[in-house]
Amino acid sequence: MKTTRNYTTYLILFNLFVFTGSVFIGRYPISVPDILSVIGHVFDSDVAESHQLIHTVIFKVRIPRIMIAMVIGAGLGITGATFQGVFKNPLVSPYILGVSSGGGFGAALAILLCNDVIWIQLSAFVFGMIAVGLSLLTARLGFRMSTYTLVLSGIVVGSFFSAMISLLKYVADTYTKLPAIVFWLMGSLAAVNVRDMLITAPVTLICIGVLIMLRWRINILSLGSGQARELGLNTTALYVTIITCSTMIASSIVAVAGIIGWVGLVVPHLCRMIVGADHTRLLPASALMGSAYMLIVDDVARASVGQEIPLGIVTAVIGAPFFAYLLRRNQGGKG
Amino acid sequence: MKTVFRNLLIILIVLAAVATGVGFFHSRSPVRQGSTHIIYDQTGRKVQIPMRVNRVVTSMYPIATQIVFMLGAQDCLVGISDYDVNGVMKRIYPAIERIPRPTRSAGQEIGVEEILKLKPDLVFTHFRSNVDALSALGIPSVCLRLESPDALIEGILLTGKIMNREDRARQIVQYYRQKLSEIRKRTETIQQKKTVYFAGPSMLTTASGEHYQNFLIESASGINTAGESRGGWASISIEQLLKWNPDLIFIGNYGTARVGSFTGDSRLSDVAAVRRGNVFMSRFYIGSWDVPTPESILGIMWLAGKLYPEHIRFNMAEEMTYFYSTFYGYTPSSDEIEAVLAE
Repeated sequence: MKTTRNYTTYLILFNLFVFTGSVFIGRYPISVPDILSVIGHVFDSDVAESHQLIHTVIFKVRIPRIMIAMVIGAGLGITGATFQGVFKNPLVSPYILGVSSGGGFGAALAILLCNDVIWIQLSAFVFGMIAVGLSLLTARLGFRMSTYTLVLSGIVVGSFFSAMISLLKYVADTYTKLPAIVFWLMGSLAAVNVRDMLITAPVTLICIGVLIMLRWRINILSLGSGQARELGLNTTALYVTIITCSTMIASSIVAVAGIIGWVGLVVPHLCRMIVGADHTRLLPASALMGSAYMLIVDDVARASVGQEIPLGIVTAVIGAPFFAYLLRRNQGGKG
Repeated sequence: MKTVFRNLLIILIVLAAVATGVGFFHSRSPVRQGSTHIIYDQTGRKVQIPMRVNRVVTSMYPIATQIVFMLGAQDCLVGISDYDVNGVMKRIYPAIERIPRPTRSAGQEIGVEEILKLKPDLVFTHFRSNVDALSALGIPSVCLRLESPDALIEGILLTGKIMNREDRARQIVQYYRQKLSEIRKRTETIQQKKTVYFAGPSMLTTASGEHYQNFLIESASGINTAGESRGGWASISIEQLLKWNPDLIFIGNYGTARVGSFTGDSRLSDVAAVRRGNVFMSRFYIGSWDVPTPESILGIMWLAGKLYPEHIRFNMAEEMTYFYSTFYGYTPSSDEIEAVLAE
């Protein structure tokens, strides 16, 4: 029992460990003593001329990117865990309601129309929200709204926006606009700077806070809305709050970093193996595990070869076999 | 049961007859007049083409449209794409708006029936898949591969031969060779060649060694920082850019990056190009001067001037006037030139 109580401590320590390791990794070659000396003199106002560039690389390039990866990983991890609980379906990812396809469409549209970073982000965010809104509306068209119809309408809306993305790719200029769209859809943190995070980070952190505060209620929802109502919960309001928070997180992440798959699917499963299915523990664990996982994945993407590997590729290459392994392990436990 | 079978058989026979008839008609129609000769296209394919080519379709490959224009054979264009029709082209050749556009935008897709309707003598394309589809219809097609300045020169000569405008093609090629060798000669003695980082679709997406932009930088006697990498566009990190520390940053004007993306980024303030203010957007007239079009020779001259101002400096306004009036029969106004060259 002691291990489950201390899981937060362990995960925080793990995060610190990965954080520290990541500071030493990168394409710009800096020796370990140099890094230590720059970090040692962090509070000195005048940095030695020779260390100016190293200072820039560590404090303006690496550490911001590490923080960005952690925030995004935490956001994707917790929304994955939340959605899997709320929809009572372990195969659900944060993108199940169409956020990614909607966001992708918004970004592709902006790339075609004006090609300005601010508009691309804004358009991706807005269309991500619109896609989820459409999923909710479509689900309400049915006899009554259930998590089942919601997942189905999410798939429908997602497919629709995927088709719209294909259409935009079809009409895009092959030399110039098409590569921009393709790169965007594969997701990357390479181009994300601190300014991009001024909105994304607060939105993500606040929504993570709200979800963690609601973790007891998500536990009850995961038993089924009938039981939740019997316990006196306003289930509709709760669903709307949870979906809105999760969508805000996913949408703002998609807007700055593109579509990063698999994290929201793999991380909650990994955490469930460690801390169990109780959402009061699963949600904070998924946020912490998500940040460390994303950071490791991003280290591979940015430092393994000269070119940046699109995150979507790394997460899938690591995520898919890992997920298969988890499935097999869980099966073994049951059988 | 028996009648169903018999009816099916009849339908099949009728269909087969119609298909044969259509095939016969189509395979005959393009080579309807005069004699033919054999040429080799840029993929090394043997193509039998009419001696007199009067109707050509270039809708799948916009660069071919530009070459046909420069050869003065624009009256032969019977099928182009939306890509070819922009404000400048309308000023150069107002009739361009009336040329049919069988495909919406340039690319691998072809509307086979739309192209058949245009009764072309020949189709210029870039894609192997087009060749197969067109040869099934008996329309000769020529594959152009223009992704380096040498290949572009070769393609212009080939197109000139096909369109019976070899003198004109030689004149264009002469101009190219003269300008390229002038740059080479003037920069020969420079010991330390300058490095260039090219930003494509986004600030951190650069052109690999197989890209046209790589050859463009090399032709201007620069060194492409990503010249060693292979494949299409390469995505890189800020750290990689700091490591490369390029002397000049050159931005394609179709992406999300702007001059301010580099000069306004505090992480990049130590990069040589940013420190010395050598961050430039590519120029743009009919199209962007950094993509594989005939105009890109102006882009090479412009870039060489930015790289080595002490050694070589073309008067770009005069060069523009000469280039467009000689090869397009259109003299850009001084306002237009100023708009292109303004910093």
